[in-house]
Order: sequence, then structure tokens, then C-alpha cells
Amino acid sequence: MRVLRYLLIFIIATFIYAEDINKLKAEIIENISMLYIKKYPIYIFINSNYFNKTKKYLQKNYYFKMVNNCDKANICFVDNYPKNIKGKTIFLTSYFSYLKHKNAAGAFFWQKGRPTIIFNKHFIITHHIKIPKEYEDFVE
Amino acid sequence: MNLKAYLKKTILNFFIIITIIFVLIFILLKTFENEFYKEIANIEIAHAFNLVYKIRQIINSKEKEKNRLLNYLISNDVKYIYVIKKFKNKLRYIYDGSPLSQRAIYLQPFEPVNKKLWQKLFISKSPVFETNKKANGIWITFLYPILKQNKIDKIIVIDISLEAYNKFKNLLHLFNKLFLIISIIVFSIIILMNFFMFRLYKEQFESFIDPLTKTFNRKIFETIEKENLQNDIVAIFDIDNFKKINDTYGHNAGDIVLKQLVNIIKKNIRDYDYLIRYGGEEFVLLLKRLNKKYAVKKIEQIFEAVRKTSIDIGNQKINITISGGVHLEPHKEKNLLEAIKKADQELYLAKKNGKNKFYIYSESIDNKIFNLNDIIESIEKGNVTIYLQPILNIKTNKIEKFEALARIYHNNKIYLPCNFINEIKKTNVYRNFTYIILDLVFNCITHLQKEISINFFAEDFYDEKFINIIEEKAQKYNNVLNYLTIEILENEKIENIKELSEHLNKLREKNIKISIDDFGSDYSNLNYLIYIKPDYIKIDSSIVKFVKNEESQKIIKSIVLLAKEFKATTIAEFVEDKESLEILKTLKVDYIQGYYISKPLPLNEIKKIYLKNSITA
Repeated sequence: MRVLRYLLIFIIATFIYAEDINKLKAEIIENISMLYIKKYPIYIFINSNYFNKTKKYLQKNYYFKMVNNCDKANICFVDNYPKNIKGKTIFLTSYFSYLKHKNAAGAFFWQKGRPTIIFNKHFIITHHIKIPKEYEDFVE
Repeated sequence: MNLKAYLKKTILNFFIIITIIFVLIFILLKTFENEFYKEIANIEIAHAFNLVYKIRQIINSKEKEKNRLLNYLISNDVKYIYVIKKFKNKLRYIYDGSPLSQRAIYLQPFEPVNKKLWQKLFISKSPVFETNKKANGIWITFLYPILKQNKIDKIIVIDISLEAYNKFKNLLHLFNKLFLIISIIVFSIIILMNFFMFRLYKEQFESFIDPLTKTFNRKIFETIEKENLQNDIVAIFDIDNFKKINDTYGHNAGDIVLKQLVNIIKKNIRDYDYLIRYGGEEFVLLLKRLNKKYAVKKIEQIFEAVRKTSIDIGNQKINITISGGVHLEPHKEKNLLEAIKKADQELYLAKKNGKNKFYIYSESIDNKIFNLNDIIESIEKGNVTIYLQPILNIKTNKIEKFEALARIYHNNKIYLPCNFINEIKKTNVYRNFTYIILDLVFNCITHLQKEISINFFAEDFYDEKFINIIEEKAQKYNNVLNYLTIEILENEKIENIKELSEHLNKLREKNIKISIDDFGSDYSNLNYLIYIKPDYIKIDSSIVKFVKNEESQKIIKSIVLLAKEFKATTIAEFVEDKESLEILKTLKVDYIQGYYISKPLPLNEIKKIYLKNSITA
């Protein structure tokens, strides 16, 4: 976990030097997924204009499988909160959507050329997810 | 230095200079580029400061749609404008003038990426900025703190677009391209100038080259005359018997010999040494920056290479030899030509003393030729003496005669006549020198009462007055002429042998004996036996030296027979060992002389050794 934590900080801190932003976005998705899902492979569903181009990078990773809908997925990164879905780990791609859906696990989106990550405190507590101290700045 | 070496040196220098120029240009451009970006970044920061005033006005106003008003400040250069506030240690957006797609909502959390910059802001409580060329569309992030009761209340964030950077970057690229084009033009001009300079140099260079041998000609002295000769060595060479090669094999063969000699010498010298054709078959070699000891070895090496190499002249191969004179300290002379002149004197001696050798001129070497003034000074001071070399009668085994050999003292060194006699010949000094020698010889005769021979040139007796001088000098002594033998030296062909014969007969009338020196060598002529009618024939050292060879023995045998026919006594000089003595005994030579019997000694020592032992060998 410590490795993952440092990796996340390193990735965020150095993102501005990365030439391929989509690759960087994919790496952040991988790190968030590994924090929330403790089994492999992790099934990911992405339905967002922000992250559509990250799929090609995620597909290359052996531990991640891309799925077509939220039902089959362990974790979803979507613009709008899916209907009739309960108990899933959903990350929304805008702060506005996140504020509307209290059941969402958090938000991850790209704004002004920078990443914004928010971890839902209520979700973390109810799902017994351990967030490292270093990540506590992202929790609200 | 040859053309190839010059080319090599020039091209190398040229490339070094060009490389240095380009490295300097690159450093200059990079420095300029950095300074340029710093300057335009400063302009953008100044622009951001101007915006801060307007932003503060907006956020302090009572307007409801502050985000929309902030958005009006967005331009091509300014990408995002937003205001951040700290709530319970968490940074949140309070205003955002960014375009709608990128606009954050009120109290949306803000997580700074460049944390160090934000820390710096909170510590300094003053505006900070950071430039980053690779940011996602952002070049400069500018943070301006709004203070309330000396605490940071809000932070204005202005992101300057990368487009502003690229705008200047394109301008800089244009400038770089322009600079590159100018550099290429300048570079081309330099190359062109070099090319023309090289052509000019080549033309000038070719005027210094001898067309036949491709060595330098005498014109090169105008250039090298100015060079520092410290640590240089100058030598002059001459092909032995070159006229004979031309006469025997033709002038084409002569040309081939000259070219081949140059090839041999060039193989043994360095690129920056000068080989100059000084005259027909005469070459001057200027060895640059060479240790004296090594220089002598180098000259020996050249001589050896010439001796060993057979030259193909078309139909056959011939071997040549060279003679040379070397000056080890040319810098001590007035100029290079003066040094060559000194080396040339040594060449003359080398030629005279048998060729195929080189002599070295140096003040530090004993065989230095001193000038006429030194000789006059030494003679006037009476620094002249004679040494006597015993001559042994083989039959009686007794020392019966001596040969007188002149010596001059100068600066605590002894000099042989061969070192200076040519300098003083045909001068009054020579006459004075003769007076002194005759006095010394007559003095020795008086002491020893033995026959003593003395060398004179045949040409000395062309003048009848010379005989009178001998007679005048003898008058002071008692009965000395009976013991005197005149050895006739021939350094050139005797032109008027009849006249000489008449003068020598006058000497004979006064009981003076006549000897022919070096019989069998260069100018010896059999008819001298008829006209000179010698009492003694001195067999030349070049024959006696090889007495162990059958051929030499045949010659000596013939000379002995010939001498008997003319009632002359034979003397063999240069006897250096017992074996030679024994052979000469069997060949019936009458007298012998040489280091085996004794080296030349002063009168005092002769008296001590030979008078005590009744002059027995």
C-alpha cells in the first residue's frame, strides 16, 4: 500500500511533466481502483468523455478488465450516476454530480489541466475502506 | 615543411576554430534564449499584476455574477482566473472566471499540484509564480495572496496560457533560423576565403620548390631566415663524384640519383624539417628542434641509408655516397647563411679527407677551424711547436729518422695543420709559420743529430726565394742541412714539373734530401720519379693500411722494386701492428713509421726515450 500511496503522490506531483495526459489519467484510475477494490482482476466500467481515451492503457494492464456496463463492474467512472444500481463503487466526473449523489464513492475529474480527486467520507466508513493518512486531504 | 604537412595543419586549425566558434555560438544562443524567456515571463507577470487590481475590484464589488465578470478578463494569454480560500485547512474555490467547461463550483475542493509553490506562498505571504513549459496548456502559474489582518484571506490564481509562450517561441525560432542562415553564409565566406588563401599560399609555396627534386630551393631562405634557430641543426650534403655519374651514365641518370637521394633523406626526416637544394648536387638540411646528440645519430642514419640503398638508374643499379658538414649550433652565428658557410667548410674538409663522411662544426668540439685572426695571434705569440714521429730502419731495427709535424696551441687545445693550413696558405702568415717551423726543426736536428723530414707543398718550391729562406735559416745553425729531408706534398697536380725539378736540384746541391709523400695516392704521377729524383718514397697510408690484403702487398712490392730502380729508399707510414711490420719486412720496405713504433712526441720526450736507448725501437 505504501508503494501505491507514494506512486499516487508521485504521479500527481509529476503529472505536469507527462507528455500523455491520458496515460496519466489511466494510472490514477488504476491507483484509485486498487484502494477501493481488494480483489483481482478488477472490472472497470468507464462512461465519461474525460476518460474514454484512458481505456486503451487500462486494457494493457493484466489486473484490470474493461466491461460494458456498470452491473458487471467492480468500480465505475461515469459522468452521471447510473440508475437502479446499488452497492457499487461509483466515481463521478464532476463535483456537481458528486454533490447530488451522496451514495457515490467519490469524484475524479480533470479541470484546468489538473486532476481533482475527492473521496466520500461516508462511503469510506460504511464500506470499511482504509484510506492512508497521506490521502486524507482528498477525503470530505 | 611540405605542402601536405601545411595542409594538415591548416585544415586541423580551421576545424578547431570552426568548432570553437560553433560551440560559442551555441552557448550564446542558449544564454540568449534563457534570458529571452526570462524577460517575456517578466512581461507576463507584470501583466498578471495588472490583472490582480481588476480582479480585486471585481471580488470586492457587490456584483452577483462575479464569475462572469472574471471571465471577461480571460484572453489568449490568460487561460484561467480563479480565487481560492482556505476553509478548515482545506483549499476551496470561491470564484472561478474560467470558461464554463473548466469552471469549478463554489466551495469545490482545490488540490494544488505544485505544493511547494503554495507552501512558499503561505510562508512568504507575497506573490509567487512558477514557470513550466510542459504543463497541460499552462506556462506560468501566478499566485497573489489577499491579506486580512496580516493573514492570507484569499488567493488569486492566474494561469498564463502556453500559447503566450509559444507565440514568443515561434518568434525565437524565426530569429534562430535567421541566425543559422547568417552563420551558414559567414561560414561559407570563411571557407571560400580559406580556399583562396590556400591557393595563394600554394602558388607562393610552389615558387619555393625545386622542380626536379621537389625539395625547397634557395628562395626558402628568405622565409626561414626569420625563424628562431635555437635547438635547430644545419647540415650540408654533397653527392660524392656526381660529375662522374653524369659523365658515365648521362644527365638523366644524374637526375634520378638526385631524386632518389631526396627520397632517402625525406624518409629519415620529419615533416617540419627543411630539405633545401642548395646547388647542383648540394643539399642543405635544417633539422628543427632536435637534441644535438640525437642530431648526430640522425645524420649518421641518413648517411647509412644512402650507403645501403642501391639506386636504379634504368639499366643498372648504382651505389652512391655523400659527404657532409654539420653545424650543431647555427643560432650562435649571425644568420642561417653564415651557419651554412661554416658547415660548408666542414664539407670541404670531409671531401678532402676521403669523402663518404661528415665533419661536425661546433665551438664545443676540438676539431674547430679557427679563423685567420686566431692563427695569426697564435703564431705571433709563438704558440707553435713541432712533434717528432720516429722512423725505424727495418734492417737495423734502429730509429734513424724523424718526421716533424707542426702543431698550434690555442685556448689550451692542440690543432693539427690540416685544420688551418688552407686558411693561411698564400698569405704572409704562412711564410712566418714556415720560418718558425724551420727554426724548430733545425733546433731539433742540432739536439738529435738525426735526419728529420719536414712537409712542404710542391707549389712552395715554384718560387726560388723559398729555397733562399731555408738557406738563410740554416745559417744560424751548424751543419743542419745535411740532416734535412723535404717531403713534397701534392695537394694539386704539379703544373710545371721541369721548373720544380730545377729548384729541387738546388736543394739537393746543399745536401738536402728529397722525399715524395703519399706516393700512390691521388695526384701521384710516375714521371715525378724522373723529374724529382727522390731520395725517399713514402708509400701512401691508404695502401699501407691494407697491407694484410694481397692486392696492397702487390702494389707495395711494385713500389719497392720501382724505388730500387730509381735508387730511392722506401718508407711505409701508418704501421699500427706487428703483423703489418712483419709483412712490410718481407716486402723489403726499408723504413717504417706509425703508431706501432711511436706516436708523434715533443723533442723533450724523444730525447728522454731514444737518446738513452741509443735510438733503438
